[in-house]
Amino acid sequence: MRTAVCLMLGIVVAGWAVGSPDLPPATLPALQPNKLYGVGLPHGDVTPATSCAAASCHGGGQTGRPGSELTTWAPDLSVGPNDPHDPHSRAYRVLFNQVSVRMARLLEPDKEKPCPPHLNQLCLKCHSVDGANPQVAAEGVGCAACHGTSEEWLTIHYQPSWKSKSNPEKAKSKFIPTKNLVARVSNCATCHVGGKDRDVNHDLIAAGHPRLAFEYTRFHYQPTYQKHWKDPDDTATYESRAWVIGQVASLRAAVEVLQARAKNSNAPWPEFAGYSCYACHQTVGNGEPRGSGTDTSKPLGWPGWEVWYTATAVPAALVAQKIFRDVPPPQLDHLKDLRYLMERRTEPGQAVPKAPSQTDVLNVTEHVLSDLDRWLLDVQQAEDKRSTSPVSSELLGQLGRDLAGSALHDGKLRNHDWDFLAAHYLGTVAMYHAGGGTAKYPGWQDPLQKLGCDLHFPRSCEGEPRFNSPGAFGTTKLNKIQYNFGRLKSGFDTSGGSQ
Amino acid sequence: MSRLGWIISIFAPAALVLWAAWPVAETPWVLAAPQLTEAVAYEPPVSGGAVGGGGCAAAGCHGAPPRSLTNGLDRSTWSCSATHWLACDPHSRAHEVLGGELANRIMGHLNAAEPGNPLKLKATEDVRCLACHTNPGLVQSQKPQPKDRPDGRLADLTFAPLHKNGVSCEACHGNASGWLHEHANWVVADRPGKYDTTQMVKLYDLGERARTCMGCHVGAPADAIRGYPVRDMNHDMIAAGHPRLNFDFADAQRRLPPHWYEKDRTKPGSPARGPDFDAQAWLIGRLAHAEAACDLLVSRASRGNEKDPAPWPEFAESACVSCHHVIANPDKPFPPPMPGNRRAGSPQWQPIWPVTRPDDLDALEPLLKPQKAIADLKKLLNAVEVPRPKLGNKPEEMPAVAKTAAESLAVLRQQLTHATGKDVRAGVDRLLRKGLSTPLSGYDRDIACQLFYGLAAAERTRMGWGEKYDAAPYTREWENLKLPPGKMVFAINPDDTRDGLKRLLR
Repeated sequence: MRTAVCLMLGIVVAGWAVGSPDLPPATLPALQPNKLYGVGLPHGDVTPATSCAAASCHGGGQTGRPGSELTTWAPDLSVGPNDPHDPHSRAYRVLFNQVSVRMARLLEPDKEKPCPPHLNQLCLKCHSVDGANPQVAAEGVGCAACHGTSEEWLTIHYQPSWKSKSNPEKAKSKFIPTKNLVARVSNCATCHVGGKDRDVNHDLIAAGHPRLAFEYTRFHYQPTYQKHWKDPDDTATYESRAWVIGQVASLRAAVEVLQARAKNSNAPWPEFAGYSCYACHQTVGNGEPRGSGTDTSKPLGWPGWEVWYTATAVPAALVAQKIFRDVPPPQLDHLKDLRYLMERRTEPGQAVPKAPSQTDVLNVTEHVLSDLDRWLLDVQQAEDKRSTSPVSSELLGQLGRDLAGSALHDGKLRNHDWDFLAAHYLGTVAMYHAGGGTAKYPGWQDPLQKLGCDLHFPRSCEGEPRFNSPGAFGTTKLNKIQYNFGRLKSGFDTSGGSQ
Repeated sequence: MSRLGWIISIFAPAALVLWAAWPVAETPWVLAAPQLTEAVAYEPPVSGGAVGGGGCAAAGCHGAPPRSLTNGLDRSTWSCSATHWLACDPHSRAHEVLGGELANRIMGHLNAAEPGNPLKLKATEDVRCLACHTNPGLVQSQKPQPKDRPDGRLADLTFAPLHKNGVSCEACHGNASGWLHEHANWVVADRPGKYDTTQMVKLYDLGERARTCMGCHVGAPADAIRGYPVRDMNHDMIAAGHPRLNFDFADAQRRLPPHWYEKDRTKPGSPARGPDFDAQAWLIGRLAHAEAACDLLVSRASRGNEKDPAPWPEFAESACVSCHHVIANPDKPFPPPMPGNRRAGSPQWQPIWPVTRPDDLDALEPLLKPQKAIADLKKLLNAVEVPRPKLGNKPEEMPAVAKTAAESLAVLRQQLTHATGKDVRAGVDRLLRKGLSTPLSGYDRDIACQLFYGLAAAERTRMGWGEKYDAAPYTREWENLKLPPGKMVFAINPDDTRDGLKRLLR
């Protein structure tokens, strides 16, 4: 029944969308979302997380149960890093650790007393709730960071009238409807990828900040991540939707960061953080694999642009088309232009251009953002209306095989870049879980596990911390990765085959 | 009339004619103006076209049986210099390597990066390769380029047989058509002037010789007068597999089997290499090297249009290790100290250009007045190493900064050729002590190598003065510094390395 209603609704919406130019404005619904819920919100008064922590509200004290969201989020301030908790609750405290203190020194080498990270707005924008006073900031990335500042809804959000409100209505009062996947992921991306006033650039990374590489579905499977909410049971649809939305929302955020960098005439340019880390940060020598696999339109010796976010853009658009059947797929023509510009690609026979200027880049980012926003808004609306049709396990299996296959060209890796390979791996994993996991596709487990092993950052020896890079990512590993993507693509042993 | 006056009276009119004929700033005539105070940019000598190396090797010219190979070099070595060169100089095989396995692999990578380009060039046809692997004057095609290869990369293959001579006579001595017939008639006294009028390259001047080597061993802008294409071995080629250009002039002089008897053409009857030759070669070579690097930077930053493409930023201008290090320990940022205005995350200017620590040049006082060059180099470092548009890392601003630095270095180089061996020896010693007083970072292998070359040159100079020489500590330090074959590992133990080098100071 629900499916039928959703389908009908979808058809009505689609029909309205197609026919809308002819309709007089009076017939437009009053509250169509015209912006992404989770992006670019104005600052409000940030109330401390403790004000949500009343025992009868979200501080029930029973970890993992409804009514105990805050307790689940941060069970105890003394939890160790390996105890289950939400790492967002520790975001502020890391600003006092050794790495953060040294980062402050390296970022302002001329100053005798550099600004300490816990007072530096650059850090606090993401390591606490943006705009919070120092006392509230100390709670880390607290409730308001993801749910929105609450001055307009704090006193009403538990009343029955609130439950009956639509998401666009709720969003008007600066509430972020995180159950809507577009709202949720695009809000995550404002910190985990960046935004117009949030930028983990190469200066910060060189000073010691970990690089940002966000993939939304990955954190479901981190054993220590303790969720304080419950996602819908319909794994197939949910998981695949989350992956596609995550891809597009993260890419959108990456383009927004680029746009901000291109606008700022004082920013470093070219900004290395926008390029693939391990394209440059790799060992060199005669035995190293060179070039970009079979992807040859990029000039030699030049790194790929935002490979982590762009590698699976084309396959993600195909998946989007199959999953959100009522929404036109994201347009990627301008993105292609932007990649050409950033990666100094050329059409056959043309001279290789210089790296693009800030002005050139600025012009194209505008179009890319508008393309991606159009799709995200459509899907945000579809998510609100729950008008997504279910996706069959078989289709997800096919999509997973296609994703694995898109890492290859003529049986060879299309690109040797770690980001490219890892992005394809994670996409395939998302489809595998969405499609029912080992129960449905027992043959996938082995190649996926092997891919995971080969892509994992190494340790110099047992007990040491892992590298912040793939380390010696040489021919042996690449051959194994190629072989295992090949196995997944062929589907030869998807039903439990052998090595 | 004094000899000087006599020479001036003969050659001043000739120089005037030359000056009027070519409105290009000339390298000042060293005899007339020994004390240079103004910046004079390096200008490649002007001459007619190239004729190819084979013509020099006639039995009656430079092609006599190479007695010098068995009897040693003497004042008659000129008569067998071509045969001597052919027998043992590696430059004679420079073209041959273009047909080798590595060259094929490099071209495979370069051609694969140009999909759809129908004309896949071989290394022996590509101007970029031939520019340095043969006589660069015989490379550029004057004929219209084929439609499917409009970028001027296809070399003039009518000269293909001459290309096979490798980096032959004219590549260093200058295009010969201006002097081929008359140079046999020159007499000792008018020789230096003849070099000026015919533009044979004054290889007897160590500074000019070093600049000539740097044309290929660093790179050089295109030279329309000599008909040279741009010589630029950039990051595209390194990424395709070409070894980087790590060069030291003094060390090259040591290793290159000479096919000449060293003499100073301005001083008839001058002895062969003086005992201070190595110290002079190292210091002059260092300045010429830096100067050539600045000139190349000017070219790299000013090219980049449709006809004359060049990437920018050009990664070969940055220290290899700045990017090519594996990020291992998450708690340990790279690299620890940040000299100058460079911030964490900004690549260092290429330390195989030997001027990345300009303050070291201070030690050349009072031999030279390096203050202007130091200031200009610091400006350049600021522009190259700080990738912020407001500080000048814009291709359109870079050439001016680099050109000024090249000019200041040219003054130092030219002044140095007139300094006495004793003063140069003392200057080298001060420079090395200054260089070793600054701590090295864990990735400063290239800078440590530069210092090693200097220490070795100083030791060879002492040998020249008859002091005893112990090879063992040099061998030990070199084993520590040299890269393992086929690998680029930049990490060193900074304190051990510096201590080891310090022990070589005497």
